[in-house]
Parts: sequence; C-alpha cells; structure tokens
Amino acid sequence: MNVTKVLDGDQLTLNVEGRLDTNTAPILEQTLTENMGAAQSVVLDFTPLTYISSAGLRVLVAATSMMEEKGGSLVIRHATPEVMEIFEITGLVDILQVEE
Amino acid sequence: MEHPKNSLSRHILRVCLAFSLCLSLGVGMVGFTIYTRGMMERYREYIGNLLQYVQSQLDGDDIGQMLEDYEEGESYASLQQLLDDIRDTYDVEFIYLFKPLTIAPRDSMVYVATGYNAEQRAAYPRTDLGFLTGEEYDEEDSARFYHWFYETCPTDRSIRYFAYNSAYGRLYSGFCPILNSAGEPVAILGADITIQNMVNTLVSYGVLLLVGCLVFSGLFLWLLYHWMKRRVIDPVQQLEIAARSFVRDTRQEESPENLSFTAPDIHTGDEIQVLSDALREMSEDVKSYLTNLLTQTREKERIASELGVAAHIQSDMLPGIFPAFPQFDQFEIYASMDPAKEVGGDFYDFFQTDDDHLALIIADVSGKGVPAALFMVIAKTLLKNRAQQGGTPAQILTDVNNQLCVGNETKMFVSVWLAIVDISTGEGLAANAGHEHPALMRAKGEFELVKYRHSPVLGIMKGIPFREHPFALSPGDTLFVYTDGVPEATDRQDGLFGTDRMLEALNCRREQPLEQLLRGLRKDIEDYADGAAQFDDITMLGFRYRGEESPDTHRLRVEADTANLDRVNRFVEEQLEARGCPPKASMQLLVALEELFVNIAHYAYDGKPGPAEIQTDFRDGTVILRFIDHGKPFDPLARKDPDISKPAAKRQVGGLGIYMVKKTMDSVSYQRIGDRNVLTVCKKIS
Repeated sequence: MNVTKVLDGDQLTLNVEGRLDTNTAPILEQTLTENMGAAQSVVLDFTPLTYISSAGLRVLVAATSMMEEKGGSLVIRHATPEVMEIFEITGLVDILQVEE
Repeated sequence: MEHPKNSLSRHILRVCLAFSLCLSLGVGMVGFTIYTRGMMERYREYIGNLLQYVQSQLDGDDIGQMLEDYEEGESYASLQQLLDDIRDTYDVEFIYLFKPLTIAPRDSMVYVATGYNAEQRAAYPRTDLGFLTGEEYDEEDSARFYHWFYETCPTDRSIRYFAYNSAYGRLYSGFCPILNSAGEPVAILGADITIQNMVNTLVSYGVLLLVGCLVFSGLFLWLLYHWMKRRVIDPVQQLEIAARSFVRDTRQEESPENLSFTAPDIHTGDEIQVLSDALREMSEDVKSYLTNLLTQTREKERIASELGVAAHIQSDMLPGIFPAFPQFDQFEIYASMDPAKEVGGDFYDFFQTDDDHLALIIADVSGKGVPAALFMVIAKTLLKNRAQQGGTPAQILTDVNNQLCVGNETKMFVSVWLAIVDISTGEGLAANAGHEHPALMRAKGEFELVKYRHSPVLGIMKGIPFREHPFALSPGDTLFVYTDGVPEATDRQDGLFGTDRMLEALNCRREQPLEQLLRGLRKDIEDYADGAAQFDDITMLGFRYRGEESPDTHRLRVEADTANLDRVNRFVEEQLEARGCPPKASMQLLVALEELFVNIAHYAYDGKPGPAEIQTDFRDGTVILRFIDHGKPFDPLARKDPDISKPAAKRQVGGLGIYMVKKTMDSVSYQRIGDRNVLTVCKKIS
C-alpha cells in the first residue's frame, strides 16, 4: 500500500493506493494520527484503492470519529464499486462521509 | 335473455280472429245452402202440383188435333180460359203449351196456347196457336227440348225442372208432356215462376247471417280474449318477467345469498299457479345449490392451499442445499424428489452419524398422497434419530421396524435402502429392506445394478432381523439409488422406463457432476413419458466418493500468522483468476479469506504458533474455502452480529469482519471434527 499526502492549509488530502488490509491498515492509521492534528478537513482519495478489509474499516471509523469530535470532517472520495459494496454491506455508508 | 319475438297475447288474438272468421263463413254457408234447398224444393212442389192440375184438365187428343190442323177447335177457348185463370189465380209468371219442331235455333218450336193476365188480355190480341218461337231459345235449349219430347217422353212422363236467367228475369221452370189417348206426347206444358224474390231474400239472408255471425263471434272473441288475458296471458307474462330477471341476477350477482326470485302474485288455482309455485321452489333450489357450490369450491381451495403448504413442508424436510457438505472434499452428493401428487411417500436423507461417518437413506412408503406423506414423516424421523445413536444399518432397521410396527393398523410399510459410509476410507455397510437394487459405477467403469438378497420391508412384521452387506468405495466410484418411480415411469402406451434405460441414461452422463447426472436422467424420464401423467413419486440420490485426494482441491499449510496473509491471499487469488471469478465476488472471497485467516492467527492458539490449512475447492460453479486449524474449539459464527445502525463514536470496532463474511458468502458453516476446527464458506461464482 502507498499513501501520498498533500497538506493545503487546514485540508489534508491522502491518496491511498493498493490494499488496505490487516497488515497495511496500521500504516494508514499512523499517517492519519501524525497529520490530522493540524487539519480541519481530511480527504481520503480511494481512486487507486483495490481492496479493503475490516482492519481498514476500523481505521476509517476511528478517524471519522476523531475528526467529528474536534468539529472537523473526513471525506472519502472516488471509492471503486467493490469498495462501495463493502461500505454498504457493513452499514458504514451511513457513518462515513462518502462522496463520488 | 331476449324478449320473446311473438307475444302470447298477439298469437292468441290472431288465432281467435281467424277461427271466428272461419266459423262465421261456415255457419253462413251451411245456413245458406239449407235455406236455398228448402226454397227450391217448395218451388218445385208448387210448380209440380200446378202442372199436374193443368195436365189433368187438358185433353191430349184435342190438342193433338188442333196442332195437326193448325186450327182452333171448339175446346180452344176453354183451354185459353183455363190458362188465363191459372195465370190470374196462381203466382206464376208464364204458363204455356208448345211443341218442339226442330233443333234449329230459329222457329224451333210452335206455341199452342199461353195464359194471359188481365192486363195482357187488354193490351195484346191472341194469336197463339201456330205462333213460332223466334230466337228466345238457343240451339242447346232447342235440342234439349226436341230430344226430350221425341225420345224420352213416350216412356218417361215425369216433370222436368230447371232454373235460369232469362230476358224475363230469374225464372224457375217446370215442364210436363201432354199425352193423347194413345199415350203419345202431343205438346209440352210449361210453367215459369220468378225466383227473383227468392234470390233477393237469399242474398239478404246471407248478408244478415254473416253480419250476425261476425258481430256475435267478435263479441265472443272480445270476451274470450279478456278472459284469457286475465287468467292465462297476464300471469304467464308476469312469470316470464320474474324468471328472466332471476336468470339475469344469477349471471351478474357474485354472492348467491343476494339472489332473490320475486314470485308474481298468482292465485288462479290452476296449472299456471302450480307452474309459478314450481318456479319459486326451483329458484330456491338454484340458490341453495349455488351456495353449496361456492362453499365446496372454497373448501377445495382451502384444501389445495393446505396441501401446497404441506408439500412445501415436506420438501423442506429433505436436505436440499447443495453442495451439501462443503467441509468435506472426500465425496459429492446430490438428490432430488418429485412427488406425483402434492405430497409424496418417497424420501431421501443423508447426514453425519459422527465425525467420520455419513448415513445415506432412500425410502419409499406404500401408497401415495397424504397417508403416505404422514407415514413418511414418521419413518424419516425414526430412521434419522436411530441412526444418529450409532449402530450398523441392520441394527438401525431392526429397531426402526419394531417401532413402525407398533400401532400400524393401516398396515402401511416402507422400503428402505440404508448405507453408512466411512468418509475417510470409503468403506461401509448397506442394508436393503425391500428396496430397488442400487446402481454402482466403479471409477472409469459403467453403472451396473448391484443385486443381493433383500430383507423384508419395514412396518409389516415385528422382530424380524435384517441383513447387511459390507462394501468399499474407491475414489471415483459413484453410487446411485432411486425409488420405483424411476424404472416404473410410464409412457403414453403404458410402457415402462425400466432399469436398462435408466442405466443407459446414467452411463451416457457418467463423467458429469452428480447434479447434471441426476437432472439429465430426470429429463430422459420426462422425455420418455412424453406428457403421460406421473403415477409415482420419482426420487433419486447420487453419491460419488472422491477419497482424500480430489483433483479440484488445493491446499496450503502455513503458520497461523498475519505475516503470512499475503501468501495466503496470493494462493487463493491465483486460483480465482484461473477460474475467471468476477471482480466483485473475488474481492468478497478475498475479504472472507483475510478475516477468517486473521481470526485463526489471532485466537486459535492464544498467541502461540500453530498451523493453519486453507483448502480451495470448485464444484459446479461454486467456490469452497475451508479453514482448518488444530487450536482450541472456537466457533466464530456464534458471535453476535454488531449493531451497524449505531453512530461512529459508539460503534464497536470488532465483529465487522465475520459479519461481512456472513453477509457476502452463500453459506458459512463451522464444525469441530476431532481436534480440528473446520470452517467452510461457499460462494457461487457462475
């Protein structure tokens, strides 16, 4: 998995590429914890994300929860249909902010 | 219903009219004829008497002499006086004496004397004797007189009469010959009376009769018509209207309760009232008949829908999810049951009696329909319960037979083939209680019937022993058992499908997976029947032993550690790609793989190292993943599903993985086999 980050003022954009599984989820989690502090708005671009398991979902739920606590937002963009399906099955589509 | 084209009242009116007209005419004609005849008779008598009187007064010889001489003799004046007196005294138009001469039209006769009345005597001179007729008589009349006078009269002296229209009006004449002493005719005495009066009377009589008849029959007709209208036509019309409205109601009204026949108020006391009463009773009968019919139809529908539910329950009782044992790659199993009626007496069953043994059952209860289905439920339950307590097929059948015999007053029985197979070795024992011979195909061979002596069927005699036979299946061997519905399926000519056709149908598909094999055979039976009704339940069960090594099974043994996730992932992903698995199903299978593998890595060995085995298998378009570990007994499926409706902050982060597996896979099952946890997931990919 590859994570590319762009910090523009208080907006943090992370481009997540490859598989987000048990082994790679901690990497995203660490990147988020390190950079989220200054950001008011986090955007996760999932265009190149091919796979997500429950470990990845856990990171997304935790990050969304943290951002909401401090009055910010976490938006997921460009999820592939397969990834969207996972969001829908788990009911996370109602909790996460998912945009086209 | 349409209005009648011809109304009864118009019919009756027309018939009455015609009848009275005919009656009037008939009565008129008869009256007219009788009256005319009577009148003519009287005239004839009158003329006859007159002529006889005058004849008696005349002297034939004298007249003959006068005609000879054409000279008025001494008696001529008295003759003339006699005729004049007659003319004056009697109601006679003419009275005269003449003699026919020739048959020529002119001058055919000569007059002798004519009677004159007073008026004529004053007006005309008397020149009668020798006066020749002119053209008063035509040739026909002249000839008639001539022939009568000269040929008939000498022997026949009777009087002749006839009526005619003359220049003097309507006359009735009588003629008689005057004879001399030698008896020869010398002259003819004629008397004419006018019948104009009579004719006039007749005409007015006829007219009066006709008018009278018409008036009377008209009056009678009018009375008759009104009487009939009141007594017959009106009641019949009321009946017709009531019947028509009832018929219309029966066709339009949905509920027979609302039907009513408005009987007309008829109290004629005759057949019409009887008819009206009969119609009312009939309408009541129709109403109750319709109500009964409706009730019975509803009852039938209720029974049919209950039977439908029963059929559903029955089919649900038989294991129907295939692949049936995805956790085992050692064998493949497929079965089907098609009842002839809604519910049937056939059944099949298969279940594990312990970790390493599988029971296979096929059975056929005597009879069909509901009784057979009820008995089938008992037999199936007893067999499964008893088999799961352990024992050999013979012991199981002995015990079940004893139980079935208790209280089996209806003497129902069931034929059973029961086998218990050791899953790891393929060896087993089979018992056949009066059931069809099983068909066996050895690997690379052909299906053949395995014949051995059967034991009796279950349910007829208590305490009897059952035989059992050991058998051994090698990888690739296929066993096929069936009920008599297969060989005894009939075509339109009552021909039997037979075991030879069955074996042929099996052999030509022997390489196919069991599901196709059984469906193919079923289709062959249907084609053979060619639309003929299915008489018996058709039930089949196929069992293919594959042994430990199946060519489609791949396995990977690794340390249960998340570090091996990529390796496990690659192992499965490569096979999914090779099978052309679509991306969505592929991602879901890989997610399931990760969740279940990580689960073993985290929990199976309490953090200590231990082995995990992943098996992949493909059967009939279904991917099967098996996860085997030797850790502590642990069923991840027993965990409660997370509440996915809670907001992010309150969400439990655990449990999502297994939840996703349950949601995305077609079936998920856990078994503890020996010291192993076996978790199996299946997903259809094509």
